[in-house]
Order: sequence, then C-alpha cells, then structure tokens
Amino acid sequence: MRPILLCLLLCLAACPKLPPVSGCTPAAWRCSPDGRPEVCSASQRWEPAGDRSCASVGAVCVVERTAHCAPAFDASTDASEVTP
Amino acid sequence: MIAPTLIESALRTWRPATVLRPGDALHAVAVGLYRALVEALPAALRPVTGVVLGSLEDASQRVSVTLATPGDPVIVLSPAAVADEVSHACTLAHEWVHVGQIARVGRVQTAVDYLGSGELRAQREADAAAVGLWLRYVLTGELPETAPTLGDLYHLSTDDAALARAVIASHLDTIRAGALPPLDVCVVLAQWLHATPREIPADVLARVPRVPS
Repeated sequence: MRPILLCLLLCLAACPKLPPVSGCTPAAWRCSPDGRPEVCSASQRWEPAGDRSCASVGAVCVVERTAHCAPAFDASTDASEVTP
Repeated sequence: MIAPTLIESALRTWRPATVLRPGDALHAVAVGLYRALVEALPAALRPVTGVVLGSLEDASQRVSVTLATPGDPVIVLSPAAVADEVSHACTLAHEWVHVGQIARVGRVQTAVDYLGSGELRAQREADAAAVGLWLRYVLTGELPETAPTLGDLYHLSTDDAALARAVIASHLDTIRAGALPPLDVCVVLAQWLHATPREIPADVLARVPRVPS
C-alpha cells in the first residue's frame, strides 16, 4: 500500500498541471468568467492568452475574430464564446 | 533607443534573475551545462526531455534560455539575442516572462509542465513570444500582420503549434485594439516606461497604454 501511495504522490507532484478538460470545440474562443481571453486546445481545454485578466490592464475581454483585450471605451462586442 | 540594461533593471526590480551574456565568464559554463543536463537524465526520460534540452545545446548560438535553479533563475542570452539593442531588449522581456512563470508555478512544476506537456509549453512560449513582439512594437512601431509560427526549437505537435499561434494572435489583436497584453511583464514595463518619461522618446511612450497602478 505504501509504495502505491508513494507512487501516487510522486505522480501527482510530477505531472504537468493542465487545465481541466471542458469539452470545448478546438480553436474556439471565449472570455473566461473573470475576463481573460482563452482559446480551446486540441485536448479540449481552455488555455489562457496571458497571465492576468483584461480588467487588470484597464481593458475588457471581447470576442471578435479572437478573444482579446480591448480598451473599455471600445468594447462594443458581446463577450460570449465563439466557435471557429 | 532605450538601453537594454535599463529594461533589465526594471524587470530585475520586479523579479530577480541573473543574466549571462556571450563573453561573460560564466556564459560558456552555462551553455556547457545543457549537454551535462541531457547526459544526466535517466534513460527513460530522454525521449521526452532530451530532445528539448539537446536541441538547446546545439542551437545555443541563436537561442536564449531561462534556467530554473535553486537560487534566482539564470537567463543565458545567445549571440543572436545581443546582436542589436532592440533584439537584446525584446529577448530580455521574453525570458523574463519565464522568470515570472517560475515564480508563479514553482521551479519544479515549471520544469515538469514545460518538459512534460507540449500544450503547456506552447501556451507559455506563446505568451513569452507575444511580450517580445509587444516590446518590439513599442520600441519600433513594427507589428506583424499575422501571428508568427514558433520555430522547430520547441518541438511542438501540429495541434500545439496551432495553439501557440492562436495565443499570439489574441495578443496581437489586443495590441491592435490599443490595449496592453494581459501579461505581468507588459504591466511592469508599461508602468516603468510611464514613470520615467524624460528618458523615454515620446513616440515610444505614445505606444504604451497606461495601466491601473
């Protein structure tokens, strides 16, 4: 039992920490609930573009061709998910 | 032109790191470590990790790297990176994204993520590449029409390379929209540029959005 637990702990400690599989459509775009641009990977995970929210750089997240940040005064596009 | 050493100072204030340039006494030692690292890997891991590290050793003339060490991260700049001041500054900014990733995720997890997942490697290199493109835009006004493809260096699958290109495309659209890419290094440099306006050319400053402090 102990070796199994040890292996499990080592595996948990040494596995890449990917985002959870969401079932999204690969290459789809969205703004995350906290306002970060994200793109769906081939493994159907939402991967972020950047390491902080658009709001933290004085912008808002929009989906227009891609999901990206835009100045707040220019944000006229609905920030919903789009598929390719 | 803003001296790359000034940009380095601004970034080092945010996250400490050691920068080794060609000609530095420790530069040759660090490059030699790539080969030692590959040879020290357990045989079972070499197909995964050796391919990345091995290519770095071979490509050390044109490739810069950030190494997670027990102390501060070490940035090893290639001769190509310091060939001109704009490339020098942009490469420093690119590598400091990895310094930030090491601080955020941890040394061991950063290495596990980078070497164990093409998807995470693609996402992190894309963010770093976008910072380099943003700083080049700030310094020169040049911005590529379309997102560049990351080179073979990172050993990305077709799917992961497409992910990297998509992440860069998002950042390019952010820059075109007049906003700052949502990346820590961009925020640090934007705040520093606006805090030292007398030393920064007006046309450069005009390309840097102000960000909340």
